[in-house]
Amino acid sequence: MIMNFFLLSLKFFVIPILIGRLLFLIFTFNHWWIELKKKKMFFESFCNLPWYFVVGEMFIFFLALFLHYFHLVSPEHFFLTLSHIINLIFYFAFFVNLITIFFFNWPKIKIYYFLLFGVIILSSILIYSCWLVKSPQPLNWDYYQHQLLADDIRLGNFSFFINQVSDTFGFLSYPPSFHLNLALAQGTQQLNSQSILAFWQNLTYLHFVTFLFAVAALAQVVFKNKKLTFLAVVISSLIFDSAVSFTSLFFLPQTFTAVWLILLLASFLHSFNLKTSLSWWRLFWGILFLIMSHFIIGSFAALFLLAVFLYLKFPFWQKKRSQLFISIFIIVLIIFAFYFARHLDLSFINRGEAASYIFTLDNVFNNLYRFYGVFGLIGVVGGFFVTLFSFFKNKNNSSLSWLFINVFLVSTAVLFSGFPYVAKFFTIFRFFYDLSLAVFLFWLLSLFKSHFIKVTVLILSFTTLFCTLIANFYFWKVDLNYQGYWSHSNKEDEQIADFLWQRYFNQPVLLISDPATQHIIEGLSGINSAGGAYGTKENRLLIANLYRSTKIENFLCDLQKISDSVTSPTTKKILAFSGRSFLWFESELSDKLLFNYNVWSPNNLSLRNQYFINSLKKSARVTAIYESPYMVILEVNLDNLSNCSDSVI
Amino acid sequence: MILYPPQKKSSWPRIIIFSFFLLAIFFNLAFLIKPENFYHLAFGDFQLGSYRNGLGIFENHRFHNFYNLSPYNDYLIIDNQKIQLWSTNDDQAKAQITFSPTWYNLVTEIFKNYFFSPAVNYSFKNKDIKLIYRAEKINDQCLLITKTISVKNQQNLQKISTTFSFNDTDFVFSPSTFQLYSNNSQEDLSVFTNVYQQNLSLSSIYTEPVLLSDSAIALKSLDNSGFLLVKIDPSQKFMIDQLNRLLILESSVLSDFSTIHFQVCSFSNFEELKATNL
Repeated sequence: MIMNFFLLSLKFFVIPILIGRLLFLIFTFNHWWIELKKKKMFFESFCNLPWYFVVGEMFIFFLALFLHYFHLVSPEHFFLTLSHIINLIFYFAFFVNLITIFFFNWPKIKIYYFLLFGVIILSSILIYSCWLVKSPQPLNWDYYQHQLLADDIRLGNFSFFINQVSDTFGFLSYPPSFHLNLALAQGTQQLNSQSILAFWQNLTYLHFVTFLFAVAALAQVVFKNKKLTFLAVVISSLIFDSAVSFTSLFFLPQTFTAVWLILLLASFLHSFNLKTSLSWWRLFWGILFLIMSHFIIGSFAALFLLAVFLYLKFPFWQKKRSQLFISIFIIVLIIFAFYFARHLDLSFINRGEAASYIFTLDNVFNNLYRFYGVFGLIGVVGGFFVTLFSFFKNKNNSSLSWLFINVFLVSTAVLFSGFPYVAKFFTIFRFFYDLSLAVFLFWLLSLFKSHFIKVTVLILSFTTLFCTLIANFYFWKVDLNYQGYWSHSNKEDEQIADFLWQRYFNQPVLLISDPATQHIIEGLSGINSAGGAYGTKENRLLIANLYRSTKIENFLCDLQKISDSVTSPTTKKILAFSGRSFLWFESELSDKLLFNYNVWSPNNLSLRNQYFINSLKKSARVTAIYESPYMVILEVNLDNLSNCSDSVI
Repeated sequence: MILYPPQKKSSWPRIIIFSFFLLAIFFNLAFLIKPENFYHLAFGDFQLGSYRNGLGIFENHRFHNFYNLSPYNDYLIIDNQKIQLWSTNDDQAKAQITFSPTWYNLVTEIFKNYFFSPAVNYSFKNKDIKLIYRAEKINDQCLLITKTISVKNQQNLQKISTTFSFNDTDFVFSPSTFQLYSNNSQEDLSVFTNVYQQNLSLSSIYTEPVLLSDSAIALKSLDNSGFLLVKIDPSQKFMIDQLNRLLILESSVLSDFSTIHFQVCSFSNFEELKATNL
């Protein structure tokens, strides 16, 4: 069972990689025979994998856009057709890849890579198991909305503009390339909620492993030191950025973009180390892929990739004078950015969701303190100075160490600049912070000749980082307590989602509850809700008003006005009330209007809540379809409802 | 890239760096980030925490509705006289109170609480009395609470009273006979009957604490989801103090060293509570 879901989630990566490799073989036809006969080193082959993925995923995405926008298939048959085409190509690619890899192109693998792979797998299993303690459900709050979009695509609701697919997506942060890949990995049949959870748990673990591979690749190409690479992998597994960015343990478009940026970057740096030419085509696909994965993080990542590419491509920039010029330019830019952020009125961009992501210097420092602890922070700063010192001391100074120093400087400056949204960029910056900490530890170990002291330093460092990680996990999870578990949802949410799916799948109904319940049940069941966790102000006010209604007539009128801005209005509304809903009803109105305010953990119905629900059940329009101490679900029929004035709110 | 260690031959820089390393490790472990809700032991819908005034039982997000096990209300019967453990006249500064978290060993506490559900402790000590409360999990729904008390003139100690405070609108009733012991309004009673389809027999209004014959008492708040059930053994008796909203567990002292046990369980619904074999 677990293996099934593991294979299913593996398909998220394998389908694009195999298709991408097939496309590489086809489009480099002139060279492929020479390429195939050439004995490749493992790391060289590994550095090509991200490009296969990028090209494969972009091919799938553009094929879907082509099918959809050229109206080649009806929406009902869209996903089935696409799925059949992709499966055909996939099986062919699988066959071609099998032959070319095993018979012609099997790379030579050194024992070091087996050891590195072992360390990655061991660290990931240990840390992921600790993360799952008392948390049977994924703690990634956003996965419900990504699953919803994948389900929508499966139903044929595909569009480049995701805000036209569901009102859960208030604005266009990313096109659905990530979600298309999710839907294809899950198959043509909608999974039940338990399978969805298992799929996401496995996919998150695979993301964590990919993250560690990215760290290893970056450490390997920048520092070209095996011991430092091992250190970087272990250190990165022991650090969790538990605010805003969530790089390692949450699988989201933003973290996915960051990890693949680092893999692409490592590939460019490796080509540079091998003195092979950097391809403009690869840069083009890389930039396109990053932007299509997440507009904000991806655009920043694309700029980053472009800057590094230009630096590596043209030797002019690697000369001392140019390096000095760029460094001075960066420092001036940093000073200007700090001035700009503090003295100019940025309220025009600090609105909406961005307002939730504005952090003062204090906030940023506290977050870093939580992620790294005292030792980790000293190590991050120390590692930077060790690299700087080495750069100036080393007569044959390395272009990559200069690059690392400048990227670290820019990352820190952006992070502390006070601009909205920049905390999210830590999902990219943390790779360089982790690497800096690894450099510090490597330097510390190289100070001592005694093996005893070396081992003591290593054990103390890893133990301290592990303790910091567990404290960080505990700090993050403890308020999500529900009956001894730490979770956003519970087993009954899963059962309710399956129950609603069986009863209302593909029917014109609207699920109404507090934003958190809407978000969870909609994500697991695919039943449309009034905006999920991101409902409009009007809907939030109307939902909040339901609890204040003293007359059933007013209640029904408010209910009638709650609507989905994307789908057509319906007269059948499904009310899902749990203790969580009433806690949200009873909170401050100003809180209820916020996207980042939710009752984050499940809660059972109180006696007073049940009494309120009983009073609703007296209406002939209301039928209870599910009742338990946790949740009551009411089906409300609003056909021919009249006498509703507009002044109810 | 080549990373340079200091080139000097002297070992002093290395010793200094190693000392700073140890210092950084020490500070890291001593100042780990601490969550606010540290010592909450979950059982059913409820959680139990340890605070300055004693143990508190409440539901997540519904902190205003809590139940207290506190030396502030507890009393002893010594030489037929009622002695408050922690009277208002007490110089509170002189009482030594230890409640979780103690932070004595932060790393151990964090690991214990993250991976397991350790017992929650509370201790109170003044010049005459030492009291320890310990709450540990029996299963997912029930806690065993152990109260240990030592008094200076132990030989004259006759009874130990443990108090369980309840809220204004709570229903306190016998789960076997459905006899109501709290003083609830008619409106609140109709809410209970409406939801659970069960009438509670009305009790009289008592101005003094009265002895009850039950071995288990249920408590239900209008604003909580779960039912709390307090179970005692035959050596103990329940009393209800309607005026001060206290459920009192009175135990006779049989030995010099006095330890009493009782259970507090949580039930998510009324059917489960009724099905309990009492």
